[in-house]
Amino acid sequence: MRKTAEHFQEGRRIGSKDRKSKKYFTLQWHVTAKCPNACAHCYLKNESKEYKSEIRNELSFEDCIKVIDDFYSMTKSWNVGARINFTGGDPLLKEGIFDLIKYANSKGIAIGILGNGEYLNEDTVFRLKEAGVLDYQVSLDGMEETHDKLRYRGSFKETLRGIKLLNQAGIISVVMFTLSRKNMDDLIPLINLVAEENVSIFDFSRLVSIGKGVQFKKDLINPYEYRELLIKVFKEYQNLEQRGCKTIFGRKEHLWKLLYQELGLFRPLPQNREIIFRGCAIGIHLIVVGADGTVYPCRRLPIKIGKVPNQSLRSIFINSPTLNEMRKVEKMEKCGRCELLQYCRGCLAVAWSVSGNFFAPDPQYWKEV
Amino acid sequence: MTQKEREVLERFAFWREDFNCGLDCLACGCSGGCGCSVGCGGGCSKGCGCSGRSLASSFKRINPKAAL
Repeated sequence: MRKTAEHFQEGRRIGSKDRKSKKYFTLQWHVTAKCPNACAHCYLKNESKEYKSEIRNELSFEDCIKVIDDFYSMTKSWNVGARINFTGGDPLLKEGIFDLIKYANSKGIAIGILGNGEYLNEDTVFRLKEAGVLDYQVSLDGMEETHDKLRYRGSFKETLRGIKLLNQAGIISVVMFTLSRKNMDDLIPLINLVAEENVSIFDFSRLVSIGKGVQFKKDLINPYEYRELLIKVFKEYQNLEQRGCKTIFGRKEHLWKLLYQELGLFRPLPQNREIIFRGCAIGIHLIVVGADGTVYPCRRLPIKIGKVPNQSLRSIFINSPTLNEMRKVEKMEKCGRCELLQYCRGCLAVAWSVSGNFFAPDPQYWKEV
Repeated sequence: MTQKEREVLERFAFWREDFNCGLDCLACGCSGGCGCSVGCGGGCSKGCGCSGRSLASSFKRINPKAAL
């Protein structure tokens, strides 16, 4: 099995067409809502008319090509790299998915997949690789018992099988863990498991209580528990890295920055609060399209901001009143006063799912401001 | 980029011509589209404020101003 570093080299080579720009605008595209799973925390599946529309009104292949052309045109004229993360549902259930990937790849768009392990077999991973997929993300939401309870019996083993196939094919394997009180005790054991399984990249994000996940809202992890958990995870990552672990442990979770500042690993700019450096990508370099063409700021923030292909992504991204409101980050209730405003801003979707207000305090934000 | 687009986006470092955070997220395979706020930090040492892996593991204290 090839080492992770070699996977990265491969990724650099495949994705090198637009690499000079170094900056990537990402389209997260839920090309289908169809999915064989019934995850307890799924943010997509529910009884809403929006979900039904995604099932019934999936964009045609021709419309999908228009979306790719539109996205390519936007990023090209703005001189930034383009990336599409095809997801779902299970994106492998989208009719013509391999042709869509190939078409996007032919335009120099970097391609990732956020999917499941069920439909991965030797033939599929070969076709994905051939089509130009750089990385493939699957979910593990705990060790076997917890994961299978949240998804379905047998899902854990199926996912591990899929990871092996991805590694063998030289596609970067990514594992995502959706954190809630139901599985928080499994996080550290899972980190060790993904290291043993030679997963290329591991990361976690907090559950957003929308869709079926609304049932988790009543039992949120409190801010201090969360801080303690981050410290444990940080130490575990360090231990593994010091032992030569090749798995990359991502830090996509927004509130890492609070902890890093406390640990002296990160210092905010002392002045000039005008420039926003990092933090939540909403309204900056991310846009999301649903299976029926509805456009969202973030998939876990289900506020409609437009529709493709009737409207252009460029016009939606610039003119959406909702996105423009979200860009007024000083209005955030706690983050607006925080010295890490330019770098963090918590998770707007987590805040919205709890309070209905995306500028409300992130419920796991522990800092006093 | 039109004047209006520039006005909407210019406060975000991502869009500034004089700023390159150097993250090169795709090199690490980070699937940033799901809302990634950090990137894995796969090698970045330019000090834009990213708290990615390289900064975490090296315990570097950084001056984000250096990036500009």
